[in-house]
Amino acid sequence: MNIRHIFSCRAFANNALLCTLILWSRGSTGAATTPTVAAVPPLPRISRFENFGEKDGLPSHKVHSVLKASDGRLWLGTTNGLCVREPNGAFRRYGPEDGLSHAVVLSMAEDTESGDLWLATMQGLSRFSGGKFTTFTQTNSGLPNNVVYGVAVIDGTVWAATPAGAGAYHIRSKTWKIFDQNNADMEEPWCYAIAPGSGVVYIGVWAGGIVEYDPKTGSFKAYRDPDGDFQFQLTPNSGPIADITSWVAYQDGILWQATYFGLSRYDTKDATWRTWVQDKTPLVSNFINTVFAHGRVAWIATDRGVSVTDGINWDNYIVGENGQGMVRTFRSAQDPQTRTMSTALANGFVLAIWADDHEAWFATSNGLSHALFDGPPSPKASASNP
Amino acid sequence: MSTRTCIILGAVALVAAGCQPKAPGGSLVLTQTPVQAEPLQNTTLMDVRYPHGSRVLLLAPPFGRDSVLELSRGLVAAGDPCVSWDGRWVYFAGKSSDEAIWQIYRVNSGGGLPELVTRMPGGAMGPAIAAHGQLVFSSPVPKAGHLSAAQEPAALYGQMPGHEPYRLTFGPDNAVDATVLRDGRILYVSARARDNYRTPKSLGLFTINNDGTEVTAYACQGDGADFVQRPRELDDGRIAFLTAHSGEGGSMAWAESVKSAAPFATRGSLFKFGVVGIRSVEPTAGGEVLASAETRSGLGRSMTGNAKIFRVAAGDASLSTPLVDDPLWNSIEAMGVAERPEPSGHTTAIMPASHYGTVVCLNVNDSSEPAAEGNLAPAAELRVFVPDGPGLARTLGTIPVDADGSVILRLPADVPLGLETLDAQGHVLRHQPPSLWLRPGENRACIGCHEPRNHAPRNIRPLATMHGPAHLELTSQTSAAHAATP
Amino acid sequence: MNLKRIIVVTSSLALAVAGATVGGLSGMREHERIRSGLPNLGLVSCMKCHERGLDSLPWAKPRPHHDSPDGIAVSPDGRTLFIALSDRDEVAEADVASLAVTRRLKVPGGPFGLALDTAGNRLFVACRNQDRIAVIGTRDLKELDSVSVGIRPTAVAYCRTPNGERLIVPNSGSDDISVLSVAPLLELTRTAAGREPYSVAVSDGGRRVYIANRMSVHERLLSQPASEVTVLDPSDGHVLNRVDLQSAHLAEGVTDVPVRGWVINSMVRVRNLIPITQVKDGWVMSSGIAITRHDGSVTQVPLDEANAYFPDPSGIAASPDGRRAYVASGGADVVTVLDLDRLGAWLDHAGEAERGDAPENMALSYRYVAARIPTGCNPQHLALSPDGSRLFIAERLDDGILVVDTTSLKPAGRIILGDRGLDDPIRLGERVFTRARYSFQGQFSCRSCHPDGHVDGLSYDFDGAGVGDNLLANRSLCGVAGTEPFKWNGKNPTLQYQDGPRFARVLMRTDEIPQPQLDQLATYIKHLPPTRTVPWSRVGQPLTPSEERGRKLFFATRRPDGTPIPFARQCQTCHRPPLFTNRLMTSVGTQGAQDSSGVFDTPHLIGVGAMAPYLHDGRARTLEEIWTVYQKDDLHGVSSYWSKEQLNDLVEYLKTI
Repeated sequence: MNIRHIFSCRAFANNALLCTLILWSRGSTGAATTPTVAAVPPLPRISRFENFGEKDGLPSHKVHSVLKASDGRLWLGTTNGLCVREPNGAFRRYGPEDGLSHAVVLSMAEDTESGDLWLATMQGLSRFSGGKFTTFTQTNSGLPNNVVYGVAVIDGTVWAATPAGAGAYHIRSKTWKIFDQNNADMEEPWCYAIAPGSGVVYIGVWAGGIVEYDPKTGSFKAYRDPDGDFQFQLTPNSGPIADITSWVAYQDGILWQATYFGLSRYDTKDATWRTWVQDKTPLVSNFINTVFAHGRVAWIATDRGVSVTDGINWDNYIVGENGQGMVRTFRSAQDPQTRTMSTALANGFVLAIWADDHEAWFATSNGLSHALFDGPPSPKASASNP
Repeated sequence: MSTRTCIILGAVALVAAGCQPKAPGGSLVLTQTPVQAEPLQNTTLMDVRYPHGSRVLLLAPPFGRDSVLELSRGLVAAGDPCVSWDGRWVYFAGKSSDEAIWQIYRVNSGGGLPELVTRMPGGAMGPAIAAHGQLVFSSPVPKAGHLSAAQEPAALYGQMPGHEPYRLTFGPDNAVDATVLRDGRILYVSARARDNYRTPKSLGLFTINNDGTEVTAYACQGDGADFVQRPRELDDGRIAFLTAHSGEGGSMAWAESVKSAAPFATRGSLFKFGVVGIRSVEPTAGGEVLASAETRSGLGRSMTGNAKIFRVAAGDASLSTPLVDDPLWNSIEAMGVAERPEPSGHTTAIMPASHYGTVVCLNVNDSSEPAAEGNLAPAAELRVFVPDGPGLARTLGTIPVDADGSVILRLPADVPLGLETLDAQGHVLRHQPPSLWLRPGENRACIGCHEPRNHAPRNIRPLATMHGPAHLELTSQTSAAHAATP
Repeated sequence: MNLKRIIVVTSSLALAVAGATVGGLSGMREHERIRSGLPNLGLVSCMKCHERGLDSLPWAKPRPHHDSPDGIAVSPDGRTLFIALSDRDEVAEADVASLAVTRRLKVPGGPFGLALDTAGNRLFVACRNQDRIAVIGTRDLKELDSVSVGIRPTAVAYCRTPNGERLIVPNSGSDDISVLSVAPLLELTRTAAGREPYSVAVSDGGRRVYIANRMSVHERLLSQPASEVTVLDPSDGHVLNRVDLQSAHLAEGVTDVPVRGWVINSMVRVRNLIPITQVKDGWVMSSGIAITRHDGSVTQVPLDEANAYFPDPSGIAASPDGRRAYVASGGADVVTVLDLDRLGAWLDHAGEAERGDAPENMALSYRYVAARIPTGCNPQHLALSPDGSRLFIAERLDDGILVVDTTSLKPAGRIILGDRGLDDPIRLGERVFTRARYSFQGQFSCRSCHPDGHVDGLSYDFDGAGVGDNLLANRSLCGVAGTEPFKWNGKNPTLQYQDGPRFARVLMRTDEIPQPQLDQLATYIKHLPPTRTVPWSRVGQPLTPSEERGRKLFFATRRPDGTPIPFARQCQTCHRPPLFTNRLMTSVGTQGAQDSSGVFDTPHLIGVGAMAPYLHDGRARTLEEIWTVYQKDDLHGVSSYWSKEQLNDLVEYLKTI
């Protein structure tokens, strides 16, 4: 085995220890659980950030979610309503007075079939379609709970992650299903995120790991922290790093799990896990708000900046003590490099990310950042198969 | 008279009643007044219109002198006829003697002796027939020259066959010249509401349902000459009427019309040619009108001229050959005798045992007229008052207005009601003289004070509906009389 | 001795009979009291609860069918007319020159809406009763293909897009819009619409389609309703805009006026938030059109006049030169001809305030109405020949197509489809139902509030002893046979009573409907079948597991812990099958501050999934809200033990009833 195992223990303020098993191999090539280095394209490299705040027309300094829709429009979920960036660059806000169910928009998803936007808010699930909101609440519909953390549209079904379970609204039949501890393989009903898999749905469950639901069979499969304790990582690379899932993302056969205790990556093709924690791996922080997957690259929004990784290579974008932008690069067979950037993220506390081959958008607790990439667009990572 | 004779006569009468003759097809009912009649002094409006000798005739085609049947036989004067919708009866006003007062008579359209229909103490005039045989007329008959104002104004009454009459209008001014629209409403002439009782009145057209509810201005509210008379609904939907300037009287009148599609915006000449001295216009089933016009003299006075009956089609550029021209008579009214569709009825919502009606005003600030002295303040209160003698009013009460300007009031029925909106300092914003009324149990609504005409309300829930109506009573202790004009 | 014995025996028997009678009556009362949960019910018919089967109800029995024309389509050369005959399950082909029906084709499923492709080779048929689109080859008049869509498709539009040929189908029963590819015939997307999408117009050179939603939606009780115009990109089905027509309902028709960049909807301007103290001046509703520009701006103008009304506007067509539009008023038997030059001039001249005031200005339309063309009974669908010279008017209840010369605006002939069916009392009743002549000035018909006999989704404040205290939700007439008494206060023992003098007084404000017509009307209403709320493919199929769980909940007599549910508070007690009503008055704790009583007639639940809003005043927008918002002390069924999943199951079951 040409991988070095590094064990790290770190005291938390509450004297708890988080023990993490980190895999990091300098100059190594991938084994069964590691992608092939040679086939991995370079990560997109951010040349500079453009930042936007309230002075630029944002309705709030705190941006919870960001989404660039298939028609190219950029949508922001803020603590003060939904916001769209007009073609002229101006921001237009929609609030409860326009029909939005609540001012705090936590998550967004586009129904690519209809072009509709589905919005997870603190007071219900809103559909924004053709300029008009329609609201689903726990009292007027089958939505399990009004606090909706995550939303996804998967094969004609809108999934809403709520504290009372995952609600699944079938758009055509207009029927609701609720998945919780009573009928799904869940420890408890508190759900944070939903991600479409390949023919399956991944439900990120608070203290319940990840639940995989197969709509065809109606069956469930739970992925749980093998060591059963979020404070320790006694069995690295063998399952989710913790059961407390803050977000999930999936693309190209790779499932990413964000937790407040590190990051997990599950390759569905060979059913292998990788896990990362801060300090002992390039992961910039254990406290991960969300993770966004584009191709085989994960964009990780943490309380200390952004990590970008394909599982091998890492770029961490952080805000220095003096507010300067910094990028720390981790490449196979190379020493980590730190470079100061001319611009920085609007804020290091990053709540959500959207990215494609050309650009990335960061929702932070103090503004919106737009990242422009160096050079020509990188080939979409999914094009290469490790 | 023996019993047997009585039985036989009774049987004959019954048979006769069952075999009422009907006027020949195409017949006309015609009113003629003598050319040389002397005008009477200190008498009634009807005596001026229909002097001694005036008569109502049935004129069968081809309208020669030998085809005339007098329908007002036995009466010293008659006129103002109206044909029932089934074409079987002719109603008209008549006098049995010079000393008698005008009443409504009816006669079979095929002939016979007139039958007294009304026995109103002050007389009756202007018969019209509504749905289900309801007779509508005005009473009392105004004094000559008092068409628009009177101490005891003429009101409209309704009377079902074989029943007692009942009052329909309760305004402070005469309500006359009733006609019945196809939709069942009664269209009539009365004075427009005005702020100052000393201001000369001008006449306009109003409607009520056939139970007196929903009094509404229909047309001619200050948009032309202010003397209006004899409205009639034409087949093409227009309302034709006679009009003149105040003081010129009916013989100088000309005919105008409004489109029912927009009565307040379409007032114009009825004919494509100019003519004065129009005495009447009546619709025909074919879409034409029968007009009585004086053509001999520019003076146009009925005593010196000769009124003839003309048939006028919509596109006619001038009067053609008269249909009826009798040099010894003024032929002042003519109408066809034919069966026509009966107008719609109206299922009344009146509750006779009630003494109140309820009105909801959606927004007292919604007005087509500016507030007094340009005051832009929203109304804080609404004051309701009733007339209490010439120039005087008695306040029923003042109620607060909801934030959206809406109010709901439960008010005494069958009295003219005046309204004033007041700002927070008590200044009068808008003043509506007593001219409207509510029937017992009537619920009605208005958009605003001096609301825009022919407008539907905006679909907004008035706040006043969230609480019960304010009750205002009419008692002798209501308030002291005060000047009606602010 | 014998006499004494006889007396004794007779007395004993009499006492026994009397005792049995008293006991029986007492027992019956006790049975009623226990089983209904209502005290002092008095003696009521056993049939209140022990109802016969549905098969005996009028709507379940066979009825005559007629050649009622629905959608019509004109061939590109203007020579051939295709006519959908949904009541016959047929499509007819007629020769315009000879006015003769040349061929008929059986098309199962209630063909209702039609569209032709550009060349006129394929006719697309929306089959309302079987949730499908059929493709008919026009040369042989044969069905070539078929595809399932949403519930009750009412129209279909054909257009070419950069992505290929498309069909756009409004599914009125499932409140969504199907976007289909033509070759192959596949449903590509199904997009949420407003409520009851009903008609569709292709606009902007095929870059947009406008879908008229017939029913209005309101956000909350006493808020202003609006009908949506859904604007789609037909190439991918994406929603481009959702235009609200404020206070509009029955927005059934839509047409494109490309020359002007307008899309025009026919619509009813409803005024349900105002107490119905009068009908005069359009106080309850009026008819109009809504002009929508591509930027989404809308101007509504009336179709009615100050003293004449043209209710139930439905089909609408615009001339190719954009100078005229034609609107069928099904309640007035009139097609109105609009002069769009004059209307455009008014729009250009009018200020914002004047345009805003226009829908309420009943004296406006004389400026732009060019003519009113009298038609046969209940005109609904319209079509223009491609050159605009001929207007075809489907006279639905006269089994004919009126052909109008658009130059003279005079009839140029009539295509006779059937015998008018005047010997059928059901059809005669439908004529009464659709005719507005029974309301003051002919302002509205029964259909104006009950499209297809169903609800309009609105609550109205009816005139009563006072003003503003009688807010009542519209109730469906579909499947109403056998559910008497009627009205929320249960005061009407028969439909004749309901629709006769009472309606004349509180709503129609004119003479009551004459008895023969009233009887026909009642016959028609009794034959209105319940509204189908499940897809055609699911009719007769077993319940889903969720629905089955909901059914068990509906019929539950005990809580999961075994605690008995009081009989009076079991769902099935009041909503007793097969009609799902016991036809008794009951209180479920919904008396509002303005309500004079909290006791209401128990509504039947057949088709309840399509009857929103719910409860007597329509306060519950959805079935869920009945229990999540307006339940009080378990008075409306014992729901306090339900989980959210169980409530969802119950709702799913209710939607299948």
